[in-house]
Amino acid sequence: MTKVDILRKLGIIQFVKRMTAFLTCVYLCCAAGAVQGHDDPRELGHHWRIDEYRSEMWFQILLIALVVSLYIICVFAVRTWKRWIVHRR
Amino acid sequence: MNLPIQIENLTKTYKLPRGRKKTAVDSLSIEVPEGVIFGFLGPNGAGKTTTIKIILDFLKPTSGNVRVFGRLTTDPLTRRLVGYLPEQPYFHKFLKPIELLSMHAALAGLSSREARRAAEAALDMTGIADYAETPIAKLSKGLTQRVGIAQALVGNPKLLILDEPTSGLDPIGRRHTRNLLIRLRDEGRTVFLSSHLLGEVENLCDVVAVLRAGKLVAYGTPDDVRSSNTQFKIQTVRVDNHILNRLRFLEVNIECGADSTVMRVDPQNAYELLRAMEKLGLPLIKIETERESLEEAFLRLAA
Amino acid sequence: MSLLENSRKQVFHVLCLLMLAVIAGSTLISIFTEGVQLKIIKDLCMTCVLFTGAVLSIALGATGVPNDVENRTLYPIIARPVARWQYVAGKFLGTFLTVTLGVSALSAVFGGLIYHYQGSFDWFLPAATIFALLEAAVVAAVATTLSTFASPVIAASVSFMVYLCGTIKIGFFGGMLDLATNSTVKLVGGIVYHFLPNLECFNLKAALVHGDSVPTAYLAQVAIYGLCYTVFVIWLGAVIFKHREV
Repeated sequence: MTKVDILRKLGIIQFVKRMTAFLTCVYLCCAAGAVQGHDDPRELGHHWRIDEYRSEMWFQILLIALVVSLYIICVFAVRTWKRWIVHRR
Repeated sequence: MNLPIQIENLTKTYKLPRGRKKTAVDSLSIEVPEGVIFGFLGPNGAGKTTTIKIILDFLKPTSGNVRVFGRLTTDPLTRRLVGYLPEQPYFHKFLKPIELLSMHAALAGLSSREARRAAEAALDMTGIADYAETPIAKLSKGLTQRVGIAQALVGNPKLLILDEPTSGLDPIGRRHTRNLLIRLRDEGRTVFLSSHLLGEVENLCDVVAVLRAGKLVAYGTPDDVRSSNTQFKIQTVRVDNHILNRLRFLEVNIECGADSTVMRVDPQNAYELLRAMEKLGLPLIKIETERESLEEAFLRLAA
Repeated sequence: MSLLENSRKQVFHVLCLLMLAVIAGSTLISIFTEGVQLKIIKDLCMTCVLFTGAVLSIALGATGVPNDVENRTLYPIIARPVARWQYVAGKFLGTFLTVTLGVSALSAVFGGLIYHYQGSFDWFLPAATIFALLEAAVVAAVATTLSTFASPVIAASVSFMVYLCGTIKIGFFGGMLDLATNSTVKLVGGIVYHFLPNLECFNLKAALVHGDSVPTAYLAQVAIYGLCYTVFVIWLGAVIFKHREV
């Protein structure tokens, strides 16, 4: 059995082939991204220049506050209702 | 006074597929007094582990109440006074016993220095101080079990809940654990143990409860649980069947061995039996009183 | 404890070594002029840092709680005076600290490379790394919360979906939603859209590559958003785990 056969049997050649393909893809994607020369901040990934990002973040923070408040109100209401039922019995 | 464990009308029902239900614990009420070793017995699937899991708030009861030292189990601070050994304990294999125990002591609320000291003391108590620095992955099953017992002991708990504490231990380990539990009881701690080794429980427990299909079938001291009937065990030489038939006028239980015959009879019939034996010329080899063992009581109750 | 456990997992070592190989491999690209090459190295290395952070968060976060339940190492811990929320928070912190360890190591190598090629240290790199870690925190929180009730496979798959959708939320997902005409699709899509984390905003790769400055107010807003979202998701996980029977 030759060295190549041993490597093939262990799957190392297949692994190296796949990893090379993966790394090539990563390099090509990144290279393409970096050499883009558009003026559109969206294309460049300059999200700090886009208002939509800021407004969406504030909206989500408010949404979180709303969900938490609703939960607290619900828990309080259920506890009060349970206490009232126990008190009535 | 706040009892270590107070279970009132506890019911736990599991939902099964297709709308079916299974009641694991059914209207269970138990009070565990302080400073005793309490044996929690029952066949497999009787609801012992479910009850323990509810006491520790791993499971929520369907109905009923469980209080530990007067507090509801839903309050995590209740468990500050509790040490727990699960059945077949598993720990992170890469940790050393001293590290594991220090971590548990810290979780129990001790400072890092106190935690280290408590861990060393617990290792000493369980007799595994020599293995303090050996990774748990390299310990045998029995030693891992002892690490589990030591883990339950750190943090100075007033109540110990032990699920099969002597499982996997050799006779020396069992004796050591039994002596340790007695020592802990004598220090005023309460030990709540679930075990299948009834011979040990009989000698160890002050109070026992027997569960069957989720229901409490016996509760009290081992003496209370065992049948109060005492029998006489009378041994004679091996005899033929036609002679034995002449003794069957009494309610006598006869067992024929290879070279002797053993007869069990109620005390009120013992005199009659001895007279009949004398008439038949049967020699008396041995006579002794016999009481139902806890194992026999368990088999009777759990059947 | 979770840190010790996670740092022993194979996925942590394999991914960190793989990404180190990618970072080291990036120096082999010499087909471009010097300035462009540095940009490509920065782009590639920052991609590795972000990718490692997210994948480690998913792989470690999604398996933490189910592994403890399956191996029964959970029981002795929650039998202690530890509240369920503390356990979930501890699991999350363990995952996050492990991710921080891996990402910091990659970032340090990355910083060394920049110093080698640029002749000076890029002071924006620590900021970009911190925001990459904040993104990892959000992803780890999602994975940990999902793992409190789902199996590791489902938790990892859903977390990965959330990560993918989160990274293209406004840039792509928002645009797709605008094109939808069916009102039900718009409503459901809108709810999902607004609850999805906005992971794009943690990605400061473009600023690092092009040497642009990002307004401090914007960075502060992103930091507040990241913390709020992480705490919210972990709180959800704690509420779910509190009611879970183990």
